[in-house]
Amino acid sequence: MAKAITDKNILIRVLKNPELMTSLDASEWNDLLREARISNLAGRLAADAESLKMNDLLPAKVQNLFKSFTYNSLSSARMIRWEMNRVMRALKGSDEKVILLKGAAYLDKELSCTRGRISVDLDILVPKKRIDWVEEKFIAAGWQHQLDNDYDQKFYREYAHELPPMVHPDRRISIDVHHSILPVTSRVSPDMSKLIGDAVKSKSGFYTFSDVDIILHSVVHQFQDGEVRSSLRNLLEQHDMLNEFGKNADFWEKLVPRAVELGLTRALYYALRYTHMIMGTEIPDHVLADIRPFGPNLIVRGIMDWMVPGVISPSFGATGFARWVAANGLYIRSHWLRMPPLLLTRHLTIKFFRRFSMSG
Amino acid sequence: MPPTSLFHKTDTLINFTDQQLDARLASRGAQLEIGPFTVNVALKFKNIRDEFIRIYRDYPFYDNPVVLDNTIRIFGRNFYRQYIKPQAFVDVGMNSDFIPLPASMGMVSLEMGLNWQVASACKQYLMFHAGVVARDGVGLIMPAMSGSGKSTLAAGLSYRGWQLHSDEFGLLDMESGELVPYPRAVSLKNQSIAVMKDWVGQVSDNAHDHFTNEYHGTPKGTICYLRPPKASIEQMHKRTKPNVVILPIYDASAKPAIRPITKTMAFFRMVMSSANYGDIGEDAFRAISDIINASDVCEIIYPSLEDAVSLVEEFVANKAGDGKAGGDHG
Repeated sequence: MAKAITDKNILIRVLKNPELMTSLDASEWNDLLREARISNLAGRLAADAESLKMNDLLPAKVQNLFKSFTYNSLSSARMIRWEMNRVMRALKGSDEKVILLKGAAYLDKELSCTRGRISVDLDILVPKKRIDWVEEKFIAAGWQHQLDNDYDQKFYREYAHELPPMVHPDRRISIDVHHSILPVTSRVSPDMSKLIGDAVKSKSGFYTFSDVDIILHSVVHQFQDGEVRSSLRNLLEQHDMLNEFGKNADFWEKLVPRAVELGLTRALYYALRYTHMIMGTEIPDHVLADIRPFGPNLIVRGIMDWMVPGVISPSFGATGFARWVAANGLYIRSHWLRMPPLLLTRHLTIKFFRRFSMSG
Repeated sequence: MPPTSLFHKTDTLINFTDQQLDARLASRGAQLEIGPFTVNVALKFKNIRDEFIRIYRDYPFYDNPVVLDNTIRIFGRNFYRQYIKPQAFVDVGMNSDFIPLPASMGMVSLEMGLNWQVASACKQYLMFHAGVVARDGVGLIMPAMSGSGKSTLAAGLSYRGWQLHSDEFGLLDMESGELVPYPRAVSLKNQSIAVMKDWVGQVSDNAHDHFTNEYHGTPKGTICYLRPPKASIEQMHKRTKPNVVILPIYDASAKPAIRPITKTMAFFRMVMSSANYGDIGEDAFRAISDIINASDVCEIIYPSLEDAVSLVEEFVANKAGDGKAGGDHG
């Protein structure tokens, strides 16, 4: 059922088969471009057209727009690389690993999923005992805190897994400094020393997680901690990485055991299920068999199968009230997994009342 | 009859009557072409449609579906906001939340939405916050800050025989090195409104038809929009290479003067005026270098529109007389 729904989506169809771009009519292009812009994947379409050398076959107007998208993603990559350079300089002398996360890590490892990608912030991770040192170094180098609200500051410091975001006023790229891949209040708390221990040094002098851990972090970010709504780009990155890392047979042998070791099996279950269902990712049968016992019961799975494809991209399946229920169901679910009930109640109550005092 | 667009050679333009255009705007929207951009415009408020039709009726509209740069839809979000206390919500199709304006502000919300779409997304053309006009092979860029009078000056020149490219969005095709016209409605503010009404009145019998209502109490004071001259709309695909850069300075108490500046200064002023220079990077650096190498540059200081237009024409004429305009000396 879910498969049929997502197959109707023009963005998914083109991402799975970019050659389709040569045969779209004007209305289809308008639908595709609208979806791609909202999902932050316009640059990806341009990169796919470029790498398949089919720009000349596209309408002149599309070629013109693709030029714009390409400048945008090149500029984003350049800014992130420059910010990495500034971070390296600010944290010179660190005796602990400074690990790049998410987009910056993909960029540093030159993964295929960075083609056409836009990043607006930079995430790094350091051991918890080093987090105050890092904050001091950033402040000394000119970074500033973005949040001046006391509750937000306190909430980040006590319950989150990162410092409140900081920016350097000359460059305006937000930096998130993490000490864990999940909030300290979360139901699951992976042993960070294992992840940090396996992190490998890259050419830039930063560290990145091992291939298996990079995927697990993306998966956790999407299916445990983050929002599923409009997260097609995340799913696409997982699809790309599974294809890229999966060429190495070793990777598939390690994936499920590592998820078991870190306690991240449920999120991995969903990621493998939905990359396969929506993007058609090829996953070895034995891996699917190994992860199956970690799935939810049939009722929950049925609900997730309805909610996830329904909201992952703006025009998928669900519309109107059904979409609202699915999107908010997933929002509450992500918070439910993130913190204990009493804290959740308090947090959502404060956020709710703040909407009245901050209007405008 | 407007010329055929460069981008949609096989597509057909439609000549709407005002009633047909109104009906299209009120329903699925009309595909409006302005220079290199085509936007689908849908307007759910009658007063905004009336103003839109007055300003844009002579522009090209496409009949069959064409690939769009953007869509813009202005509507009330519910019954109360549509009919009781009308508020114009602007959907620019880009994940951006716009602060809704009262529907009585009419064209302001539409023009702001169109500005936002170009300013935030256009990277395929190098963009200057500048007034740009052209005439007889002269491509003139006037980079300036908001409030320097560049809109008034660009519009003033366009109602004295120059082709209006834009009053604030100068666009350059970096491959061909040509300026790309984008003749939108000119945005006039505060005292420049009366100046332009007088200026247009000197050459047109029905000057009032060229202007929208005046909108008072916007964040920028009073705003009024002016339709570009018909010739500039008809020439929206006629490109010119830039060869003159003039930095305009309005000063009510100044004695009109042309002052020399160095090419280096002109280069940096062009860089500072560009909203997407940093994103485009190296290609933008090269393009601005080429413009400055090919251009004669100066600064003008003026107390009135009349003086400004004379100074511009004097500078351009002298340079042309020297056989220098457009030369690649320097």
